[in-house]
Formats: sequence, structure tokens, C-alpha cells
Amino acid sequence: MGGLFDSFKIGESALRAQQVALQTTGHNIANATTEGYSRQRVIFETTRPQDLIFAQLGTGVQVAKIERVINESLETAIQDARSDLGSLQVQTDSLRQLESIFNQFTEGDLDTALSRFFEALEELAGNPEERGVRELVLAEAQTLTDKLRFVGDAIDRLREQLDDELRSNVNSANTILVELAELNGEIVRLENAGEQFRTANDLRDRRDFLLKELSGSVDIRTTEESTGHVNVSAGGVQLVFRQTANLLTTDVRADDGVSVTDIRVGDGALLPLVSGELEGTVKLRDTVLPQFQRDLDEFTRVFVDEFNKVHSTGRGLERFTSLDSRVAVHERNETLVPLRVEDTVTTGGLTGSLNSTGLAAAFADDDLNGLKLVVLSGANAGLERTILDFSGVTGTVTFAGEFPAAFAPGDRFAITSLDFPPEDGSFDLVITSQLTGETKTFNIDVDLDGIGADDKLADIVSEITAELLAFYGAGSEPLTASITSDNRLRLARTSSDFTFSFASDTSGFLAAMGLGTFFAGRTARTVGLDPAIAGKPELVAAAKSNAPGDNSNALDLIALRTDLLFTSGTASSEDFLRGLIGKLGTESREAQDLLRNQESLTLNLENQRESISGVNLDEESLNLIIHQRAFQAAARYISAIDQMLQVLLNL
Amino acid sequence: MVFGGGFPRVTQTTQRNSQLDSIRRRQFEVTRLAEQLSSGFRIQNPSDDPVGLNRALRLQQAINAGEQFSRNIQVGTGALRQSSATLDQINTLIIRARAIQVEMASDTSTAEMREVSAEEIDQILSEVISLANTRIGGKYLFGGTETLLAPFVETAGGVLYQGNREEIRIGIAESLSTAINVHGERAFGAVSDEIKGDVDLDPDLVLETPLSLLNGGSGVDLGSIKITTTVPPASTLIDLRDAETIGDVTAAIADATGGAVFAAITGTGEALSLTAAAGTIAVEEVDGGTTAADLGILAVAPVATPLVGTDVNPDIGLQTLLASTISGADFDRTGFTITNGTNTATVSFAGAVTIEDLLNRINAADVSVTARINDAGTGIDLLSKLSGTRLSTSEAGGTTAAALGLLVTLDEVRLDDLNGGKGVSPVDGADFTITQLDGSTITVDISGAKTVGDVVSLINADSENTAPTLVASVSGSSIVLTDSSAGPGPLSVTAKNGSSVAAELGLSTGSVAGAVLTGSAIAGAGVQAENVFTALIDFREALLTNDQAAISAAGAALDRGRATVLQTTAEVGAREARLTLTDNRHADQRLTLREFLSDVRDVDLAEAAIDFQREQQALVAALQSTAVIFQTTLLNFLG
Repeated sequence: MGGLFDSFKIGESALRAQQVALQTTGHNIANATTEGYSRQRVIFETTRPQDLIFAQLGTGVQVAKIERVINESLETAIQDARSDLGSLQVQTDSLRQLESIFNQFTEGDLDTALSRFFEALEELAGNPEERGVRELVLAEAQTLTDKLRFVGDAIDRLREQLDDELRSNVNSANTILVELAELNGEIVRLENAGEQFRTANDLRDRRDFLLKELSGSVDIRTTEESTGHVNVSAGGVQLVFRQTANLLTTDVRADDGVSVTDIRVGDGALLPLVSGELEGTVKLRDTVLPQFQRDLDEFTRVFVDEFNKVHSTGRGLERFTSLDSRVAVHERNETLVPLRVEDTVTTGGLTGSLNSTGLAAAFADDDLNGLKLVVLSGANAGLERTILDFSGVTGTVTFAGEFPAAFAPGDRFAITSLDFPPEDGSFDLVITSQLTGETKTFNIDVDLDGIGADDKLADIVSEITAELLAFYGAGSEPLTASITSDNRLRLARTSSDFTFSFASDTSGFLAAMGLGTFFAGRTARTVGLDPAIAGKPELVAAAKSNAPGDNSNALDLIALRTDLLFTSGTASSEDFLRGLIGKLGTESREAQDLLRNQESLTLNLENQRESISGVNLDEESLNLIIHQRAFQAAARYISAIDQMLQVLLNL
Repeated sequence: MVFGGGFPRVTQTTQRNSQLDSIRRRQFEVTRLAEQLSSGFRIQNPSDDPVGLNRALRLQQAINAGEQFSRNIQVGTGALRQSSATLDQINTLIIRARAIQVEMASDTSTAEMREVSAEEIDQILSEVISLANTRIGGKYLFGGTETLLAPFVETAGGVLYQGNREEIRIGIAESLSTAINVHGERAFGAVSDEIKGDVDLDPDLVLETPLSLLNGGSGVDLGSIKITTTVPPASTLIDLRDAETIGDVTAAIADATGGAVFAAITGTGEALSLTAAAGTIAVEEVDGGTTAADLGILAVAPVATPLVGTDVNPDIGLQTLLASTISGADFDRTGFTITNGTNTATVSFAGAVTIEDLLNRINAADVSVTARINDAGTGIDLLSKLSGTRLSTSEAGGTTAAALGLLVTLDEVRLDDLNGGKGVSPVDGADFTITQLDGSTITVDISGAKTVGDVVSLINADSENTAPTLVASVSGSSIVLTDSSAGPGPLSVTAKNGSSVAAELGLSTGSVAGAVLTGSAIAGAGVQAENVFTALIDFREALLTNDQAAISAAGAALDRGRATVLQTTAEVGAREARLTLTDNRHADQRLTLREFLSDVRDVDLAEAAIDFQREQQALVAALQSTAVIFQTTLLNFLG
């Protein structure tokens, strides 16, 4: 049986233990609103008892450990949920932004602009003589092209904005990775420093918090080693191994006029992205937004080409006195390369086919560089790319921008220097005598049938010259045709007695060269009025004859509103635009719905975590009282022992 | 261990998160509903209802299209109404002129009275011309697409039509358009009847001949054909879908068969021929097309080489080479003389290459004459644009006019155009009799005959002309009667009922002893524009010259001019009525479409208002409960 001094020790242990408990409660209350904090609790245990002959006597209390109240599997579930949430948040925000770019249901939306343009053309059909109406047509066309350019540019800006966010996201991810590696070190060091294992509760909370933050950006997997290290990987790539962080690097490349950032891990491999903000950002930047841009470009290209084809064969109130083609033929080879070269893919890759005898034999290595390759059939049908480098010797070719699908044998393609590949056919050059009003028509053959030699621009010039010479005689030609020093076709009258115009073009040559065209630029971001017609309303081709009241070409232009020009002849321009907006609406709606579900799911998980690890102030207040009373009781116990000691001392 | 009685722990943070979540949701809903209520639209962004959006846009587009059609119809109705009103006024003027004509035709009218009336007719003519030059919105109504040029101008020779015969069309419904003008040719008969080129110019094929001109202008249904040869034994598919000219076809055949089959134009220039080295050739259609047949080279059963096709009968077009016309024989390029009233011009075709050149030469000849390819695409027609004059052609020393079929032969001459345009004056009943050599008589009543040729036919087919023994014919500028009946004669022509027709036809009453009676020379005065202008001009002349017969004749001419105007008025009225009907249909449709659109796009205000109310109450409740929850804590009750 121990003495009274031993009894003092019991009281002392109780005071000390309750003080620890009070301090922990205080810590809990202090961190009640700290993000990522998990409440701590003190585990008491009895001190080693004193062995008596008849019994064991208690010697007091001691603190076994201070532990975090936490459910590890819940933490992992929250990490996953955060990744999906991050991806969906980015997508929802950006798609909403895209919706506001299209500005649907306002006066400024695309289909209103298109509709207004056609309404102006109807006005033109009603009053082809009036200059004011023609100015209206030009103004509405300007609005339409401005709107297309605005949306096209805005999509680019949105992609750039996403890329900026991506880069700052990568930076913060790197900061987190570095801190994680440091925390790994500290935790292991602290927990193993004394003779007894101690949990580094607050550092672990911090690490868990950082992991959750990181999982919002990247979809990570974590494993904890027995040493206390947490290793982090994403898509099978280690990001943190023990105390080493494998940092993310970025490199910038150009894609369709926008600089985009690729994320790589230390060794240079692309970071695999499954979920998280980074994945959402990249998906939008590289898949969703470019798809909208492509659709918009396709709309622009088809609309512009078809409109130009009809417009170029009509006549304005005034006819041409001289005209340079807007499009120049390929600079070095205007006499070498026919206006259109057609071939078929003979092997699976386009590389092989370009080296097929037809092309390689006909052209020197770089003759095709700078020309446009237009795919006529197969998976890439309708797409076009500029040839950057062509080698007839090795059969390799590089394009500005890749084709989305693989080429298959039998796919047909054409190569041209013009806006689009013209067909075999002909067009009429009509010369009007200003004195008598008499018209003379010359049918100019555009031979591109692949039989024998096909026409080059120089051949067309020769043909025009020869026909004029034959009819008017040397020196009396009303018009000269030539190729300018910058490789454009130039038609210029020689006498003010004549004007000229075009008609019935079955080859598409005029529109492809930009002769008498209405629009210039064939992507949403470059489209505009043909500079030759801007500010010259009298050149708007409403007629097919010289009569001022003739509206027949305007009617043909109006017909383009309902003509099924799009998606292999199944959709009109309005259908196509409607489809585009509809797709945007559907995708945005889908992302919003998914986001709402994911938010509920995540909130649910966070609440679960909170119900386990969160600090409840009422609970802590209760603990405070309990521990305070226990402390008071222990003090009372000591005072009782003291009085007992006094009694003995006073004996 | 702490027991929670089976309830999860709820911490202050949980409470905060849950309350915030529900407050946010409510606030979002309240804002959304408030936006809907203020804008009136259920769909604000495409993502609000992607399916509804698609329907809404489709409906909106349909409504827009309908509105545009209605606007077009308004423009059209305006023009047609103006046309119809103008024609009405012209009709009134013609009635006035006709009343003067009746008065002046009477024997009691004196030369002085007629001279005074001539002035009034002149006034009426000026008014008619002014009305025919009516403008709407600065554009002339009756000039075709020449809307900025007064369609009718009075010149020394008569009234010249400066317009064309083009229609101005506008869209009035989906793939439906209508003409909103009546050009002068139609409204007034502003140009003359054609001097018809009645010779088929039948151009030969050349490599440049467009396929669209083949088969009398119906063209070629473009597809693929299959050529099978025995030497070398081969079967080749030839894709002609992109072919435009005969040259494209021959080149494609030579290219596809690798030169084994040679395609060319036959020597007669009318067909294609296919030649192989030896053996036989068969040409078949592919996929039920008619390409080979349209090209005249269909030969399902193999034929020995060369395969000579059938005549593909190309029409003439503006670019048709003159050298290839008339079966490649070309024609004399001397040209011919055109006389229109007092204007005469000799048009030479030396140096002309195409039909377009030929037309240009004629049109440029400053005799108010227009030449155009006839509707059948076989020849050239000449028409006068000048009212009040007569148009005729004659050779200029060569055979050009005849070759083009533009020389009017006597049997083609209309009886009205005989005798310098005065025509003939038939009476009721028989006009003359012909007494044959055998004494039998043939009684001729020319009512019903329009041309000299008709009269000749009448005589030859007369029931009294048995066998027939009397043959009438036209020779040069005379009618010739040849009698084969045996008899003492003489062969004679006798006027009946005081008719002057026999004399007017050059068969001046008389007799010959022989079997052949050759009439004296008669000639047509050419064609003229039969219209109100000509009628008024002729009537004015008749009044000034105090020509009783011509004044009488003017009545019929005025009636004919008026008939044309009335017919056009009726037609314009019908067109206007059709436009109004179409517009009503658009209006009905629009109403239905708007209802649909409203269902899809617009907010049901009552529903939205109730929802708004509910959400707002829920928001208030959420806020209140939050306030209460966060006030309740154990700390309040601890000493």
C-alpha cells in the first residue's frame, strides 16, 4: 500500500490528463471552421497499477493518444467525387459562356442575321433598280459576316481563356505536389521521432486537404505506405513518390490559330487525363469547342461558296470595266499546276497515294506546297487543308492541321490553288457595247476532265484572248486577259465603249477565282464581303441580263435559303444553324444536369465526412464542462489528500 | 464511446452547407422564374430546353418565311393593281375613240368635222401612251425588265416599244413564284406578229454543241452508258454525268475505252458514230437511264462497226455556228433588206459567226426590228417594235431571206395585208364566180379565209370543182388558175354581190380563151403590230385624209386593240385575286404557327406566377429556419 504521496500522484495524473483533454477541446473549438480539419479526441488509459498482495491498486490516468476521428475510405470517395465535379464545373461554365456568345433569342443572334440578310435580298428582288436596297443588302451581309467572325473569334478567345486557366491550374497543382512531398517527409519524421509512435494529426489533416484540392484538378489515386508516406499517381503516372514530387510541365503548340498547352509529366509523356478540372478544360479546349468551330466553319464555307457561285454568274446594275481575281494562283507554278488535280488514295495512308505515279510524275517535289488539298469522298469528305510540304520523292506530305479521320483506299481528293476545286465545264464571258447595248457572248471552256492536259490559268487566258481576237480582229479586242505579277487573272477593257460580265458558269471557275464574288474568306473567323463589292452596291448581281428590272439572279440567291446545301444535301442553311444551336443547348443542358447530380453527390459525401470528423460546438461545450468538472474533482481530491497530510503533520 | 441514438452527428458546418445549398437552389429558381415572368419566354438559353428550342426555331423560321412571302405579295399586289387600274383607263379611252369612229364613219360627217376629230384622236393617242408609261415607285410597269426606260415613245414613224418581254417574278410561297408585271407585248400587243423563219435551220453537230440543245431542246438525260466491243473483246462503262458538250462525250468515250472506240460526228453532221477496229459494237444504258438513246447511239443488239447513230436534232442556240446551220450547207451571207414603215436597212451577215452575231446585226439595224430564236428553237423570227408601220423583208440580191425562211411568199400573205395594208373587202355571200371552159361555175365566198393560200385552197376544195378540174395556185406574185375541163370556154372570173374581192386578188373580172388564167401581180404590205396604238394612228390618218373606207375599217382595229387590253385586264385581275388568296393562306398559317410557337416558347404566366410564389415562400422558409437553427446552441444555456 502506497503512501499519501502516491495518492498525490493520482491527483496529479488526473489534473494533467484533464488539462490535455481541455486543451484538445479548445483546439477543436478553435478549428471548428477550419477547412479539412478533423476533430481530435483524447484517448485516456489507466496508469500501470500497483501490485498489492491482495489486490491491484490503481495509480491514476494517463493520455494514451490524441487521435483524429476520420474514415479513410470516405476521404478517397470524396477525392473521386471532387475530380468529376471539377471536370463538370469547367464544362458547364464554358458551355454557358458559349451560349452567351451565340446570344440566342436576341436581335443579335446568328439566325436573325441570316434571316435579315435574306430579307434584304427579297427586297432586292422586289426593287433591283434601287441603290438604297442594294446598300441594305451589303449592310446586312456585313452584319452577318461580322456576327460569324464575332462568334468564331469568341470561340478562339474562349479556348485561349481555358488554356490560361489550364496553365494556372497546372501551377497550383505543382505547388500542391511540392507541399505533399514535404508533408510526407515531416509526417514520417514527426511520427517516428520519439520512442513511442505519435500521430501527426494536424499535418495529416493538411495532407488530406491538399489531396482533395489536387483531386479537383487531376483524377488521382493515393496509397499510404506503412511508413506514413502517401504516394500519388494519376492515370498510372507517379506524381508524388515518398518525398519526391514529379512536377507537371507544359509546352505550347499552335492549333488552328490558337496556342494550346500540353501537360506533360517530368519524363515528357503526356499526362493521362481521366477526370478533374484539367480533363474538363482539355476536353472543351480540344474537342468540344473545336467541333463547334468546325461546324461554324463548314457553315461559312458552304454558304460562301454556294452564294459566290450564284452571284458570280449574275450581273449588277453596272457591269465590269476591269477586274482582278481576288484569288491568286499558286505563286511559283501558275503555269505548271492545273486549276484542279484529282487523284485517289491508293493505299491506307495519304502519304502513299500522293506518291502515286500520277502526282509524283507530274510535279516536282515542292510544286504542291501551299496548295489546298480538298477531300472529295471518304471519312474526311469536304475537309480541306493546305499542303505545307510535299515530297514527290519520298512521298511524304505535311498539312497545316491534321485530318481527323484516317484515309482509306478509294477516297478521292483534289488539289487546287483556288478557293475550291473548280469542275470541268465552261463559263460565258459577255461583252456589252455601251453604245448600242448589244451583247456578245463568248463561251470559255474550262477543261478539267482529266483527259489529256487539264487547263491551267494561262490556258484560260489564252482561250479568252484567242476567242476575242478571232471575233474582233487584232487590235480591236474590247478586252484583254492577262496574269498579273502577283498571279491573279486580270480582265481589263481597252475602250470605254465596252463593259463585260459573266454568265452560266458550270465549272465554278469564277467563284473559285473570286471573280464577281460576293463574300471573301471561307472560315467563320475570316469571312467578310469581297473587297471588290464592298461599297459598290451597284455591283450586287440581281440580274442575269442588262435590264435594270431583271431580278432573276436575286431569286436564285434567295433560293439558297431553302436549298439543301448542307450535310450531304439534307439540310438548308437555317436547318444547319438550328442544328448547331440545338447541339450546344443539348450539350450544355447535359453538363448542367450532370453537374447538379455531382454536386448533390459530393455534398452528401462531405456531410457524411462532417458527421464523422466535423466539430460540433454543443458536443465540445459539453466536453468542456465534463473535463472542467473532472479537473475540479481532481483538485478537490488533492486538497482532500492534503488535509489528510495536515492531520498527520499535526499529530 | 459516444452514442448518438442511431442519428448521425450534425455539425455546425453540415448545417451551414445544407442550409446554404437549399437557399442557393431556391434563389436560383426564384431568379429564373422572375426572368421568365419579365421576358415572357420560357426558354432563355438553348440549354433551358434544347428540344423545345429546336421546335421554336423551326416555327420562328416558318413564320419569318411566311411574313416575307406576305411582304412580297404586297409588292406584287401593288404593281398588279396599278397595272389593272391603268389598263382600265386605257379601255375607257378606246371606248371614247370608238364612239368618235362610229360618228365619223357616218356619211354625214364632213372633212372638216373629221379633221377636228383627228385632233381629239391624237389627244387620245398621247394619253394612251402616257398611261402605258405609268410608273410605280419610279419603275415603268409595262416595259418588262427594262424598268427605267419609258416603254413607249412616239417617233416620227409610229409608237416604238422599248421594253422587253421578260417577266418579273417574286416568291409568294414555298417554291412558288408569280409574275408581277405584264410587259408591253402582252398587255397591248406592242410588237407585230412575227415574220416567221419557217425554214428549219437544222444545225449540224459540232464538238462545241451543248448537249442541252439536242433532241429539239429537251437535251440529254446524263448518266452512264456501256459500250461492248468484240475487237478487242471489252465492255466499258462510260460516265457522262459531267458531260456538257458533244466534244465531252467523244473525249470521254475515247478516254474510257483507251482509244479502242473512236467516237465522232457523222459526215452528215446529224448524228454520232462509234468505230472500233473490227467486229461489232453494242451500246447499252446503265441503271435504266436514257443517255445512250438521247445521244442516238443506243444499240442493245450488237451491230457491225461502225455504229452510226440516229439524228439527234439539235436546236439552234445563241452560240450555234452559222456555218453549221441548214444541215451544214450554211447560207448565202449577202443578207436581206428590212423595211419597216419608212425605214429601210440592208443587213449583211458577212463575218458573222454565230446566231448571236446574226441577231445582233438585225437588232442593230435601227429599223425598230427585233430578231429572236423562235420558241421551237428551229429558226429566226423577225418582229416590229414599232406600232403604226408595216414590216416586210426582201432579198438584197442574194438568197439569204429565203434561206432563213424570212421571205414572205404570196400564199403566206394575210388578206388584211394586201393592197398596201388596206386588205380585201369581202361581202356577205359569194364574192365571185369562176366559169370554167366547160361552162360549169365555181362560186367562191372568201369569208373564213385568212391568207392568200387559204383562198387558193378554198377554190381547189370547192364542192363544185369536181374531179377537180380547176387548179388554183400561187406563182410569184400572182394567183394562177389552170382549167383542165374540156370545153369551148372561155375561162372567166365574175364578181358577185358587188364584191371587189376578185379585183383585189388580181383576178380582175375578165376572161381568157386558154386554159390558164394568170392574175395580175398582188403583194402583201408586210406585218404590223395589231394594237391600240396602230389602230389610233391609222384612224387618225384616215380622218386626216378623209378616207371613208379606212375610217370604217378603223372600228374593227380599235375593237381588236381593246380586246387585247380587256383580256390583259382580266388576266391581271385573276392574278391579283390569286395573290390575295395566297396571302390569306399565309395569314391563316401564321396564326396557327404563332400559337404553336407560343406553346413552345412562351411562359404560361399563371403557372409561372404560381411557381414563383411557391419558390419565394420556400426561400423565405429556408431563410427563417436557417436563422433559427444558428441561434440555437448549448452555449446559450450554460452559466
